[in-house]
Amino acid sequence: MSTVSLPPVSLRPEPRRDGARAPNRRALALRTVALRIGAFLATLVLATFVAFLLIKLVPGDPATAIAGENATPERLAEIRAQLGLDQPLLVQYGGWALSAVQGDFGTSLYSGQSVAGLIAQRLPVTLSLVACSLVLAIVVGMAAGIIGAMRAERPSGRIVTGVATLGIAIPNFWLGLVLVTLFALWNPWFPATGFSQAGDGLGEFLRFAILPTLALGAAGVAEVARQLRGALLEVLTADYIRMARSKGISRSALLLRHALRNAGVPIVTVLGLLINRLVGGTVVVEVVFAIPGMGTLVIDAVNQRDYPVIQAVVLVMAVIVLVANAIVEILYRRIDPRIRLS
Amino acid sequence: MSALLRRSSLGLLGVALVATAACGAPAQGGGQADSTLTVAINTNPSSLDPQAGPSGTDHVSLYPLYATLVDFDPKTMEAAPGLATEWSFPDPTTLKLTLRPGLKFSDGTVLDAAAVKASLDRYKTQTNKADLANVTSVEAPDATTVLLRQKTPDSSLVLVLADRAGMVVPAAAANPDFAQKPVGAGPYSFVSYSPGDRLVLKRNPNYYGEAPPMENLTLRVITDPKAAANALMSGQVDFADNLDANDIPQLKGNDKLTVESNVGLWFDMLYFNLAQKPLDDVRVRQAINLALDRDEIIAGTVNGEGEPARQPLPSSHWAYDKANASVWPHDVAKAKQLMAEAGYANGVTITSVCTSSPLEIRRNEIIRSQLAQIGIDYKVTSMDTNQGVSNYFEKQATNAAQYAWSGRPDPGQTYSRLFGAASYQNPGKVAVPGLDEILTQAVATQDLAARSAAYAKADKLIADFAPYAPLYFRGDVTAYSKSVTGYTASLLGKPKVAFLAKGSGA
Repeated sequence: MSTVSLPPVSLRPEPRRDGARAPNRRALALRTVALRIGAFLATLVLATFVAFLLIKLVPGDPATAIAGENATPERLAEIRAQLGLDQPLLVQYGGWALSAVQGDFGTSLYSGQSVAGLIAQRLPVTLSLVACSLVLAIVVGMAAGIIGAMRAERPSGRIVTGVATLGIAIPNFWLGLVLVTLFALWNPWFPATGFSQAGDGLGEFLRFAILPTLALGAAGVAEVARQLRGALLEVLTADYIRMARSKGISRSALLLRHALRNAGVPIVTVLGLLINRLVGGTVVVEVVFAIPGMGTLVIDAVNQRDYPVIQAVVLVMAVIVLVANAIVEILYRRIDPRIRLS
Repeated sequence: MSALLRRSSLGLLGVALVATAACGAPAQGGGQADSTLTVAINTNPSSLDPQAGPSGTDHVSLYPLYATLVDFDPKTMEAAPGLATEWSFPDPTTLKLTLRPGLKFSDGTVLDAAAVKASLDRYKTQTNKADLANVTSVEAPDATTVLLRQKTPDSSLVLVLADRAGMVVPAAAANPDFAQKPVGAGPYSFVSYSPGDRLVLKRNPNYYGEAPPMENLTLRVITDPKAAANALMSGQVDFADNLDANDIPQLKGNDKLTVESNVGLWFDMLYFNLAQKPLDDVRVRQAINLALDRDEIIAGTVNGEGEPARQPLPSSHWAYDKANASVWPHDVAKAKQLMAEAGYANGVTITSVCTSSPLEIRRNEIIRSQLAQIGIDYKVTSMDTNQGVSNYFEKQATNAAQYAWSGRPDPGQTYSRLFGAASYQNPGKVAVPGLDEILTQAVATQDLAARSAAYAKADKLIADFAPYAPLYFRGDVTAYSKSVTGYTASLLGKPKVAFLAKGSGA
């Protein structure tokens, strides 16, 4: 179709120019890395500070949650003083940040439990759920995408595409409830609620993880499938593919060696965005399945204005998202060397 | 049943296997499923130290861990023996408790009068100290006698000792991690707790009374009522309360479950700021009470599972006064007339807050439409509870609020908290004329008949002054496996699960 498009094959950098500018490049690389780390830290500060401001902007504070419904104004003032809630905002945030930098995330205002301990309990649960969903999205999504692209004009390909579109449109909590009704209540194959850590036996882990993984990952499967199909269709119409085909390269070799590699950038982009979405989606899915993860932790904490817990969760979530983005960027460069240090 | 199936074909055997697997459902980790009872609780305990936490939802976790000085009959809220077998008022301001001899905490330390004194003294320094504000000193003259000296005569102290204040804590409570490793004298003792997941307890061999029927008790935190219902229906948990009334048909459709909806002390009401216009006018307050169709609200919000409220106690309570059944009939014409007399014939706006759950919003939409009939523009904002409570009770930013009252073991606490001129729950600080005097009389005696008579008088004053608009007592939707026995619904609405027994189920 598009006769003007350049063949997006790998372009090797030209060696002679490279050699001439070697010292410059190293300095540039160092500066880039430093800038990246700076941006990383700045984002963390910004994210936690914004979260902190948001909690403080909403009226009602931990004192009301801690003192309960019988609280007298005096009692509330007492608790506020105890927790340092009567201090200026910046002092409160600064105090939190200073301790956090030293690895001390404080204790929950509500339960008195160590926040680091709470996170240590909940994080593996949420991470394993996100990881399972990601694997599901990659494996099933890519398979569906390839089928969709290879058979774009045939009914089977259209069905795959249709199902994928539907997958994006279905909200995860609704899908979760439907899955529970079908596969835990009507057919008692899987547990309706709860979670079992992978360390306590893989079989149990899978039994508990399968329904929430489907609920959380379905949209990811659909997204990956759609994007991959689109990217593959575009690549497959390129001139060099036609050329390769005319030379007699088999369809599958063509797909795996050439087309898929060039469809890599959009897919990695999708996966990067998907991780962010999955981390956010756990908040809803964990409630539906009563899973003791980060999502249910942060919901309780927000309701109780338990800001040390909220702050720590925001920090951890932000680190996950930032690390995922960094990995995506590294992958970009591996897949497509045209993307230079910038 | 299984014997019969075993004799028939292989196919039927398969069916039986599947059915048994479904019934004997996955108690996690497998093994001795039958020696463990699993209960769903809808929120994390705010603290496992009974003296520290404020929340009424903690009790389901606290009762199995801590024995109380005084117990109560869950059906009527009358006091019953607990750690103390007897109590009396040798003089009007002294409560004398006689403890059982030879009591022990689950860690083996002695629970005598000195331990009770230490526990009560500590209570007076903790979050809930207001409960014992009237107690001036505690004495332990001998190992089984405890004397509580009060400022003024107050018989509601007996039932206060059936609540948090009476949950005796040992010297270990001084440990900074006591709330993480609690020790009490209840039927169960602590094994482990992971917040947001589960609290695991085991039978306490040192418990004074009959040993609980189950070896282990697990309380699983399931915040979403729908998820709790799913866990029940799939057999993952054996007992849950605080379920959504809209799930009742589905729960009842499951033949493995018993579903109950018992009215407790918890009721929803409109709180009025009596110092603000137009609610400073008794005619407006009466008009609102007449304009509200309580039956319609119950039908529209909780599927009919509730009892209309016209006084702060439900009909099964010992201090309930039948005379109130006819107070505030639904009478829009009379309400309109009262509004006109008050000078609001052309309508008036009342601002209010409520919690932001779908149920609360639906209830307030019904209230809004009912009050619109008498020209009141009920402007309600749904917001986060913390925010709303602070807006209404502290900042006095709205005329009214629509919240629940969760109830207290003794009616004296309910009346004085809701209507006392100095109470936090009365932001306008306006007294109901003559009420404080009657409430003081009502707690000056222990005689239930005399107390009931005093509350009947109080109810009359309250009905005339209409300092609030009670809506309905909520049915606590409770469901449990048919293999579970021994459950008695509590008027207090805080279930006691320590003595539930689970049959083998096979």
